[in-house]
Amino acid sequence: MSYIGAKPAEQILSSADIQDGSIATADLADASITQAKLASGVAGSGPAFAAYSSSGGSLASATQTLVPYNNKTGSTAPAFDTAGCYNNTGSTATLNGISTPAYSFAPNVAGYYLISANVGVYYPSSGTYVYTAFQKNGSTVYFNAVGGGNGSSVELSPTGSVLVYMNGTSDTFAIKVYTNASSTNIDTGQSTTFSGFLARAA
Amino acid sequence: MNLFEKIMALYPELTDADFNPFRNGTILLQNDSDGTGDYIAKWEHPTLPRPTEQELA
Repeated sequence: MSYIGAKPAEQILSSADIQDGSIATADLADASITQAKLASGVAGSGPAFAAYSSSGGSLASATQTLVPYNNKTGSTAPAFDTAGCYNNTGSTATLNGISTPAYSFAPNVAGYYLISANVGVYYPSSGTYVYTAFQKNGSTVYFNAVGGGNGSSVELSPTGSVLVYMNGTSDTFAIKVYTNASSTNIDTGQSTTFSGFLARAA
Repeated sequence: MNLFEKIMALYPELTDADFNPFRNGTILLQNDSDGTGDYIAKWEHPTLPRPTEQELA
């Protein structure tokens, strides 16, 4: 029904009175959309990335090394960067206004991120171990370790994930690897991957 | 010889535990994968002094 001027207060507004596509963001109160009102198949659209190492490199014993996940566009393993928040280079870059160290993720949306990574190391000798450190702003927030190498054919690939809050303005995240074995190398491709996505907004 | 090997040659009494950053090691060697190589990020050993550049050359 059309009205001249404002709708009379006693008239109940129906969907027929609302022009298709006319509800704008400004018309919605903050936090007014509930989970029940979302259609099936609707997912968030926060930053998400996946990268892998196509460069690898030697790994010195007893030396905590930043893992060079340098490929975010290839096809060997999942590789993408939906919001340009991952620095896949060996030097600091400014992404979305955030100073982002080498091989680091710097999401520009505040929230809780699920970060996952694995690091393939070949071939650590028997009795040695490989650690990976998940670091937020240079400090370890999660680490894991594996052992069981044989020095010739067994690659160790610590794998893990962590759910972490990132502030969307300055926080960055990177992965480091450490081993007490000598003469080892970081593998490339599917055994050395790094990914993350916004699991829940702040 | 890499940095770790040079340090071990200088101080053979050092062990894995001295370097392990996940087990409160007092020495942290680091490589930032930026082409500049390994370096000593932290040296807090209670008795052994940090090697000089000459000793590591």
